Amino acid sequence: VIDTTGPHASGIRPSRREGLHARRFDDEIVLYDAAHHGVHYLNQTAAMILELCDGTRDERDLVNEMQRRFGTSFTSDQSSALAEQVRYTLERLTADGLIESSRLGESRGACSR
Amino acid sequence: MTQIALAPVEVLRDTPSAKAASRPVQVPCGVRHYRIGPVGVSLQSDVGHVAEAFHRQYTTYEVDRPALGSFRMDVVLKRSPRTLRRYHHIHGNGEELFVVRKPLSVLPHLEWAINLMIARYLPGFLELHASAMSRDGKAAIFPGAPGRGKTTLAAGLLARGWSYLSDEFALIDVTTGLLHAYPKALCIKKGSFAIVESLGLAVNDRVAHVKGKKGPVRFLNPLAVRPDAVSAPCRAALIVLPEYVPGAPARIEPLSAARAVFELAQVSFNFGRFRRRGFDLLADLASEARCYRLQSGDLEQTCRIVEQFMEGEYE
Repeated sequence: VIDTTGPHASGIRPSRREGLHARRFDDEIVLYDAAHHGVHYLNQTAAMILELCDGTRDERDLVNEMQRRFGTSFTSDQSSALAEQVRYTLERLTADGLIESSRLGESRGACSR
Repeated sequence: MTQIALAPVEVLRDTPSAKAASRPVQVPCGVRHYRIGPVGVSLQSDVGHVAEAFHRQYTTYEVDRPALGSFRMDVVLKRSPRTLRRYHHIHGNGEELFVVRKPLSVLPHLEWAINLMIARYLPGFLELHASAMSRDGKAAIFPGAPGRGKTTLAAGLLARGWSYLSDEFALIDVTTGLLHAYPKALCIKKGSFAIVESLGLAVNDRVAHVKGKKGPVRFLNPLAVRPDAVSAPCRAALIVLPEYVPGAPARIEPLSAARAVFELAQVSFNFGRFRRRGFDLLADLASEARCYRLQSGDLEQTCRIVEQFMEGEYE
């Protein structure tokens, strides 16, 4: 069971902010934020979550999509752990200004490469 | 049941500050001019022993006239009207950078002041706080904060026949991506005096200078080790983040290219000047080089491991 009371639940669909210049190395990403002149490193899990933030998925959709991509069945505990990871990552990405939250129909933004 | 391995999330952030623009240089007569790699220095000193000690270190690099964009460095002796003590005022392009009292503190602070000028104003290079050495036309960069063992590692590799780029700056030409030498004298701290002497490397002065909180230091001229010790411009093949831990066994950890870009941005002095171009340079650098973290408490072992890294034996 996934708690849907977080900041990105209830139909809020995060999307990557515009103006991020990304370089992918294997499964990891390093980003240059031209607006704030910052460099960000995202490991495999965080990079996957960021890439799924395209303005069409809310937090629950992100968890479901990650489960699908892992291609295996999750136990209840594993699902909860994954949901916790997704929530934490969304909070970090929001705090660092890498994603914006929008409701359905307001999706925008993408990494430059 | 299938185990699902999720790496703990890591999101790291670094926001370097932008640096000020260049200042004009006025060069009066009576000054000595040097061109140390791409760095021009015009030095005038009220204190004879400072000018002589600096000249001894950089005789090879003396030039007749100032190079374009040379840094004007002045060492001025003034008496304090309050204490009547004499102080050495070190200026770079007219800006007072350090005031030191003890004569043995002047040369290290003059070197430090030149480093500050390079970090602020040298055009055309992305600068990393790193030592850098080369062998067979390929460079190794050792980035890190003070105390990580960058200079001692450079001295160790110099003694093993490597060519010298710098013990303080990895200078990356933003046009070509090549590393250029800034062959300043290696600044050896007290903790490494014995080990450097055991390598058979002769330091310039028997008397140690004093570099503020860093304590006693001695200078090692790479050209005194070998006349051809300074490296030609070359491309980086290896990035190693060293950490000297006394008594610790060697611990090697491969570093992903993405993480290396982040680490390099953190130790860049002037990343703010180049913005996205600088980011792309670092990304290209990390993607072309092998990257590692290396913790060690033994210089001989560290040098051997670095040579094995260079040969690709840890791939």
